[in-house]
Amino acid sequence: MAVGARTKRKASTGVVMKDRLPSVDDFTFEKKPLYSPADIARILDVSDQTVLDWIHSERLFAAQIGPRLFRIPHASFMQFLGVPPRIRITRGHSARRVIDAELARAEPGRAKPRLAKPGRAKPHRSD
Amino acid sequence: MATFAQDFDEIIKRLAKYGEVYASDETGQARRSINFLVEVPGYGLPTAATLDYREEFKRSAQGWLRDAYVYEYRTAAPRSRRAHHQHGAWGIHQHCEPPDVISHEHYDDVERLLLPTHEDFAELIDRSEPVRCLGLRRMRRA
Repeated sequence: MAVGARTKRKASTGVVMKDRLPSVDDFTFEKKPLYSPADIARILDVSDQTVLDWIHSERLFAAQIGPRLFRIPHASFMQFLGVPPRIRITRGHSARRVIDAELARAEPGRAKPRLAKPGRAKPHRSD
Repeated sequence: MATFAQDFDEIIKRLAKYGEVYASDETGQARRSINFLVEVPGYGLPTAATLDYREEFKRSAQGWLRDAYVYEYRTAAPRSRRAHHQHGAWGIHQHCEPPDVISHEHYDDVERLLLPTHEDFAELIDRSEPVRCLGLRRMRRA
């Protein structure tokens, strides 16, 4: 299996894993948005049952789309192969109301405009 | 009950199974907004769809109360869109644009939560199904 064998070359995946985490470019198999368990079995040179065992034991995330039908998203498979999840998180302290303002622009003429009464000099609000 | 931070991390974990995730958590004195953008499938493949989830909260004695949300699923080719919103004068509503149809129509909806809505959108991705807009009721405004 590609994840465990960090120093071996797997012919099916084309990946050489030394002392670093694998990246997407290390894998030479045909990449698709969704894989079936049979696809995964072929790529990793294991049996279909092994892949189903990984799915049932929740080692490999798969969506069940029928009684015996699973689909594995590309991102999930990449993470299973040891590629670090691509997640970018930012945290800040500037929360303000933006949904209303953004969607009023995106849906012109739909949202009721909030108009200040004429003659009243109110400070402009950004929301 | 899970804390807000645990919810945030749990959501990211769930979304990361479908693509590359950009998340932000902005906390002010009275308001908080969390945003998630997922590029599907990502990881070296061109973006075929995006999941865009945004929630805004206001501070209250009970904690952070959600007062606006936007949950969007968009496909690139063919172009389509499914969205559940609560914001502004329209309140709770939804949008639906089947493949290659552009529409700003507002449809009736019920209140939605982020993760169950994500499950609905993810099912479309998992089944490679197009967006369908059957059975939606148009909202009418005076």
